[in-house]
Amino acid sequence: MTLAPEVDRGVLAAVRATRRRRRIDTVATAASAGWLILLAVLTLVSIATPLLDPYYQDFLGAKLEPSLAHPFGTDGNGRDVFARTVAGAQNSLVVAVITLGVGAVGGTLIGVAAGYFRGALDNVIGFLIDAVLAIPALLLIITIVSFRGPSITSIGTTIGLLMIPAFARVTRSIALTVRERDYVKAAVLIDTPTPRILVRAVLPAVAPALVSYAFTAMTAAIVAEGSLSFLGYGLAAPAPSWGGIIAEGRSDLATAPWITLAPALALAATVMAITTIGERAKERYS
Amino acid sequence: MPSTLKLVGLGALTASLAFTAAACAPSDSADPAGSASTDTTAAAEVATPVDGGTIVYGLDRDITSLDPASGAISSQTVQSVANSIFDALMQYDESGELVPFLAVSFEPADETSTEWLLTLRDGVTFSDGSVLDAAAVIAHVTRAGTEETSASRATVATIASMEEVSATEVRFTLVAPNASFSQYFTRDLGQIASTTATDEFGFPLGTGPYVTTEYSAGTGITMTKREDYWGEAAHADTIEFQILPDADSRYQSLVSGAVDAIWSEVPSQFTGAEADGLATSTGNSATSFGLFNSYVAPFDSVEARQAVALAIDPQALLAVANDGTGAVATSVLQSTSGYDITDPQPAYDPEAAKAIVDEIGGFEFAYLTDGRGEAAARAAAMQQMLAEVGITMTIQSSDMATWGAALYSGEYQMLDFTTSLFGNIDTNLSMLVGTGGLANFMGYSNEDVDAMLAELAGETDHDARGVLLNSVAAAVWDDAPIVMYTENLAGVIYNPETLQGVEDFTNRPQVSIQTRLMWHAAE
Amino acid sequence: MIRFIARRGVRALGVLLLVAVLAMSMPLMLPGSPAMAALGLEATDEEIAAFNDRYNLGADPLTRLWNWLDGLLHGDLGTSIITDAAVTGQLAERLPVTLELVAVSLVLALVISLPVALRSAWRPGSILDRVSQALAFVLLSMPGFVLGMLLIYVFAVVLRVLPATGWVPFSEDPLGHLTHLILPVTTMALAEAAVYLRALRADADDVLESTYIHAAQARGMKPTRLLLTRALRPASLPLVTLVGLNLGMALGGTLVVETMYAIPGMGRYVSTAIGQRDYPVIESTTIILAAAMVTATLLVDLSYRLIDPRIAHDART
Repeated sequence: MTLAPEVDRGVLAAVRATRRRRRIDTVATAASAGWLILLAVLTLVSIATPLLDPYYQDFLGAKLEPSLAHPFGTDGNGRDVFARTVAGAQNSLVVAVITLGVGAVGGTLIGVAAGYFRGALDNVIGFLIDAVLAIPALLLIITIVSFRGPSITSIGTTIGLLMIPAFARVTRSIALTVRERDYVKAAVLIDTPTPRILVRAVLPAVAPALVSYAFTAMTAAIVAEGSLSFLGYGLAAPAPSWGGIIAEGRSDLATAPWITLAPALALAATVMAITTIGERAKERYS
Repeated sequence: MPSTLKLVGLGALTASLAFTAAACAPSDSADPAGSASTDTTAAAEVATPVDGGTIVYGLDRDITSLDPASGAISSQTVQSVANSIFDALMQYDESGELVPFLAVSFEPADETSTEWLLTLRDGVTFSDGSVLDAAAVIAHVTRAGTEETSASRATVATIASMEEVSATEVRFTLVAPNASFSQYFTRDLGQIASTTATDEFGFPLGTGPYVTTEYSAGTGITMTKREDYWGEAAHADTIEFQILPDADSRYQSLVSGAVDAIWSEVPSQFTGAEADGLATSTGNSATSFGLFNSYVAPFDSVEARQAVALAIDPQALLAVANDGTGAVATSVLQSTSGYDITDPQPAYDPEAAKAIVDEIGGFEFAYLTDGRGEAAARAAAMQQMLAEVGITMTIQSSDMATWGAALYSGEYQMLDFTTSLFGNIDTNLSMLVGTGGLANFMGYSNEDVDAMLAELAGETDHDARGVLLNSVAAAVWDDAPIVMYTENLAGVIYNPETLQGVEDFTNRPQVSIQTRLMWHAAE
Repeated sequence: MIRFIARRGVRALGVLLLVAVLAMSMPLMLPGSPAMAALGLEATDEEIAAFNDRYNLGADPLTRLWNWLDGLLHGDLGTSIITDAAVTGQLAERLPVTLELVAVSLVLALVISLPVALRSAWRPGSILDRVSQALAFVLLSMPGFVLGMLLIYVFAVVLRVLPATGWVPFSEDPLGHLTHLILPVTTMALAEAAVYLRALRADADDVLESTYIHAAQARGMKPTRLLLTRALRPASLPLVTLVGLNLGMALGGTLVVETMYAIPGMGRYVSTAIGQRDYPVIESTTIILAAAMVTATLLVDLSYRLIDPRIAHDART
């Protein structure tokens, strides 16, 4: 009798907490989706119409404060920071997509091969992966990019190559367990062709983990591209990329902070949005 | 591939020619003879120097060597370091006149200026107590002509012989007349280093006001005042140089009070300094210009070069790359050169550029920059200007090393160059546009220009030199191997609350910081 | 256990050897010859040979690695082509700087994340829990250069309480050393703390839900004692992994922070060398950084077994 209200209170608090968390999750997911959709729409506007020209310079209008004509102000060359931020999103996302493509395809092939066939192949692949992971990633990227020259494709593929190990590890562990499932064992027993087993049984099992890991990888790619541009090894000027615009505006941080703040906030918001949606995806698939 | 020894040496050369002008030592305000100082700094007028304390100074680059013959301290940006250890024979005074400093005099000894007589001060010693005499000068110059990395090898090659006339006199006999020979002695070549004694770090000793007590590559250098300095002793007991290569970080260190003064060539820092309670002392001593590689298409065609030159609006470049600071460069003669500019570069004329392009057809080229923010801003603006007249320019943004390698190997079409070379135009014009000149990276060659340059070398009359210099410029504009952009501010930004005694460089062709004149105002 | 250590050790050495051979192959894979660049096109064969000999260039990767290892035994890691200084000496100046950054920020990150994570796991849904989770999320979404710039802006430019950049050796000025350390270390520590906090919080949550914790609680064990003795040990497994990997990567991963704060550490040393194609420096540092990473991974594996012996049974490989 005396305990009951105590328990009730505890249970009620837990229920309230859970409800609150769900509510926050819903709002956060909606806001994240909204932000990404907004970015996508603006990117389309920037590609399809001349309204947002990230290159046009008004030599007499450098470092203007934010206004109706220039919502994020103008930079040192009289370019519209809003247009450059939108165009920067485009470049960052293209790099991220190339990275994902290279990393996910390469990583899945290698990871599934290692996990499914095991044995010597697994050992060799594990060894090679260890070797790639042993070299500091950012330095390796800088080396490759500075020798190959910076372009969207060279940066994207280089970061992508370095993501292969991570994808391979994720897919390998799943392929290992799938290999042990009864239906796969049965399929092997009745001499089902290996490619067929891989496509019909292993890939579907790997896919959910791949999708949820893809969100993490995408944010990592965006941050890596940003860091690279910030260090001066990114896309060649005057092509806009978030890290590059931030680095350009750094010397004006005290006098014209908008040049730096706009892309910095856009970058952080995009990473947050992708992470949030990624977590929802992870919950759904697991 | 770039890098490496030769490049280091060459890089040093670029830096020195280039950034110029560096060198020089400075001012006379500490006239050793004790005569009334002829130049007082603005600060000196309001306060009496205070001795003691440590001045912390932020440098823009790592100092890999403290040997003048290494080329590592010959650029304008690090003259603060070089001047602290070494005294230059010659310097520019506040009005921009070349005057002796470590020398008593340095004058032509014949009518053609082929022979020169250098007279040294009595009683000057290196920091180990050994005497600076004629033999030491000859040994230093000889070494500057042979060290692989020396920025002055080509200059020394113009000296046929050196003779020790007495313990304090050296006679230089030149290969050809050169009326401005003494101008070479304001930086590494004139900063006499001992060839026999070195400090604990292996660098040669100098006669300057400070000696190195700590040296750490990549971090900094600490120097302590010499009590037995021949001139008026320095004010601060210690100078601490910090290596802060990142321009923004360097400025923010100054704002936060971690350093007392910094070297800067960043326009927004000069414009923003006042708002941050800081003071600046600058000269228009870094000139930006574009170099065409006339060996390769499209710039093997003079019309293509002219079209580009006419399509660029230096005024707009000044606005976007320099925040409106400095001045438009109108000629190879700087505004501080002391000569009238009678034949400026043809003015911005997009219509004329368009007419040329219509005739020869539109073309494409790549523009190489060294990756600095100002160069990038300039390149972006040029891209738009050239597009308007039908020329497609792509931007190659690289780093200093790659940029330098391309410059020396000739692997570029057009290149962005910022240098203090124009500060010593009397001596450097022939290097820049003379056939085979050391800084003639364009491959430019014009017999008339060469003839005028030879005449210039032997001409001692100032007005006649001015006429000749302008005639050379006029011929150069016709061939358009280069296009002038802007004269940029370069110099020191400091906190006037804590630091005083920074000289005024407004009228000097070079900004050569003298730490010995600075003092710590407050604690 | 000994067999395990031996097997792991051999594998780690193999990885290191592969990385070393790759590093030594770099001049071979890239266009141009350092000797030609340095000596010019007119250089004689003897000059080129002498140059290659001096900087350990020109030979095949295996021979070069052999020379390098031979030098290593004598404490000689080669000579920089650019500065002509011994790499060993330059490393001796820069490695301690980066080590200090990494160590201090690691300690700071743990000091921040451990108490907060345990406290919020103990009271899920509390204000501390919600605020710390939200902050960790924001910090995780913020690349180092954005966070660092905000810190510089706030503390060095607006408030003017800390130096923005620069590095003062401890021996020169202990106080100055500390003030210069604060911003870079905070930049690194905040990001790390966010990672640790999330991992610890998630695991502590699971552990605290488990029955044996409830049992201990029922026996009247004090919360603090309970947290430290019972919950921390299992929850520390992922933490050890993260800390280990972080340490391994941190040596090469401080580049952004070192660039932003003008700190003369390993990151800037290598990136400058890459820009200048200074092969002896790039090779030596690559091998050293890889060795750090490989060692960290090895130690993580070993410590797993020490913390939780059950892992030995179902360990893969």
